[in-house]
Amino acid sequence: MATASTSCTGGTGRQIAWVLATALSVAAGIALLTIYRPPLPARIAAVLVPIGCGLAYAFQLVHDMQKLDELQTRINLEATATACLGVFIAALVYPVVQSAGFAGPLQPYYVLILLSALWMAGYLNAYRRYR
Amino acid sequence: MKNRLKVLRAENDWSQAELAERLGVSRQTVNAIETGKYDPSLPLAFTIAHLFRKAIEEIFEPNGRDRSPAR
Repeated sequence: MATASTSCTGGTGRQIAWVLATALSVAAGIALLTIYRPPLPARIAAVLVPIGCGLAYAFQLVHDMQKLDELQTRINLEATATACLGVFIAALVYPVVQSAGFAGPLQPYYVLILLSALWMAGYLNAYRRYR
Repeated sequence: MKNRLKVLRAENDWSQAELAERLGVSRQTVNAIETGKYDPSLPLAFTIAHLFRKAIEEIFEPNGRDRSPAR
């Protein structure tokens, strides 16, 4: 989820870079673990690298959030609230949807996709309201 | 809340971008305040008042839906 859209394009670029690094390290880690069955140190590294990239993204995000002015902060918080509320409702309803046979087992990336989509929708809605 | 920000900005012959830079906020924030879509925080209202050398109540005034405090 690309949570802070900042007025500082350099910060946004670094956020995107860390998200991409996280996604790539996850993909590489999965490939490494499933194809090569590496020894323990490599398995630990395959787990720690994505976590490190994710933490770097989180620090960059917080750093960029601190540069936002009060309206931009409000827009970001409204987008985050929209995303959290949407995922909360979806998590409540999903067992019923699954029991009814309309959906399969919940995959973690479903939540990521829903969270990102709702965050963007919330951001665009708030941005348009204050434009 | 109504405000005279647009008038005061015009009197100083500043663009929204110039005012935003002086206030340390984005141009979108200045535009949202001018159009009444966003009410600034108290610190930002004080910064605006200080910049124009006026009291806050000379720039911002409540409209009909803003209630007076209960006594």
